[in-house]
Amino acid sequence: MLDLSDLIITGICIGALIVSWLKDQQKTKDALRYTVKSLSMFLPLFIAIFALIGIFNHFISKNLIVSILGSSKGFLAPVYAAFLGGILGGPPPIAYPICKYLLDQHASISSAATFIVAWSAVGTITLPIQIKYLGRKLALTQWATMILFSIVIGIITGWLL
Amino acid sequence: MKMKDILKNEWLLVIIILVCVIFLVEEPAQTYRSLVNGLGALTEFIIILLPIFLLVGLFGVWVDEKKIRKYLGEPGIKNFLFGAILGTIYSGPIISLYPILDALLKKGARPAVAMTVISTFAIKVPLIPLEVKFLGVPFTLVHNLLILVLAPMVGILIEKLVILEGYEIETED
Repeated sequence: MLDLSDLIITGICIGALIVSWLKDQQKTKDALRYTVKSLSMFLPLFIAIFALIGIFNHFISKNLIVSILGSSKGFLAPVYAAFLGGILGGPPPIAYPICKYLLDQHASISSAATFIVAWSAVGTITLPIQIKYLGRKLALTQWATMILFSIVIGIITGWLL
Repeated sequence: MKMKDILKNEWLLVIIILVCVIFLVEEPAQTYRSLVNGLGALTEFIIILLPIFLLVGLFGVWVDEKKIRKYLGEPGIKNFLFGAILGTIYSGPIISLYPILDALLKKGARPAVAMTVISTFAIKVPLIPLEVKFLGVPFTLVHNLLILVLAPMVGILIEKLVILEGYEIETED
């Protein structure tokens, strides 16, 4: 189950951990505490997402996803992906399994790439907070431009691959 | 109050659990089988999660936020470079980015630079191994490089747009 890239990443991590420990024990302890905290925060979400993907796999036909986010619809697919990703939004690690699922269901690469960018950099639910900090003009312009940006990135990614 | 907090912070989790429960009630046998399949796919990734999150943790303690903020005060094209670096290595939730951007703007950073930070937010250096694991090397490489290249342009575009709208920065001094 462990392939080469897993071993390399694990190796790098162990190396970094040892170097960090030798340089500063307190900082390393803080890092470990953070790791445990974020793992315990993400693990339930990961389990839930995979459970949901299992259900989707069974009950939602491939045709439906392809018709919404597939390559057949051309330009509109990334647009849907941008709004879907932008409105849902959330921690980036969760976007990867969702995208893999979309790709496995033959959604276009453009849609998947758009989805990741919109998911992590467009904050629709957090827009009121953004307005509070950055002002209406900057926040709203940023939001609209980011939606466009995610679509452009998606289309170029799809075009290059 | 506590229930409200859970709903606010974990709404995604709550919705997913609700969906699972609805399917379990409606179609118990098929849902059970699909849940087993889905969780089976998860075990493949569990192994890699620990080192990834360890890397994220180490990044968090060794990369000094204040220092980066200082570099963003330097003039010229360097600004955009540091903006992109900040957006790329910072991996907290997007909400926590807004106060930082606010502080940057008030300290005199160009809006274009602040917007570069948020545009590169979709790249997560410590999480790149995870993205590779799920989506493969070509996808990860192309998609992250594109963001990096286009982000400063998007930053400048947003700056131009808000200036057209009559935006003014309130500086602290």
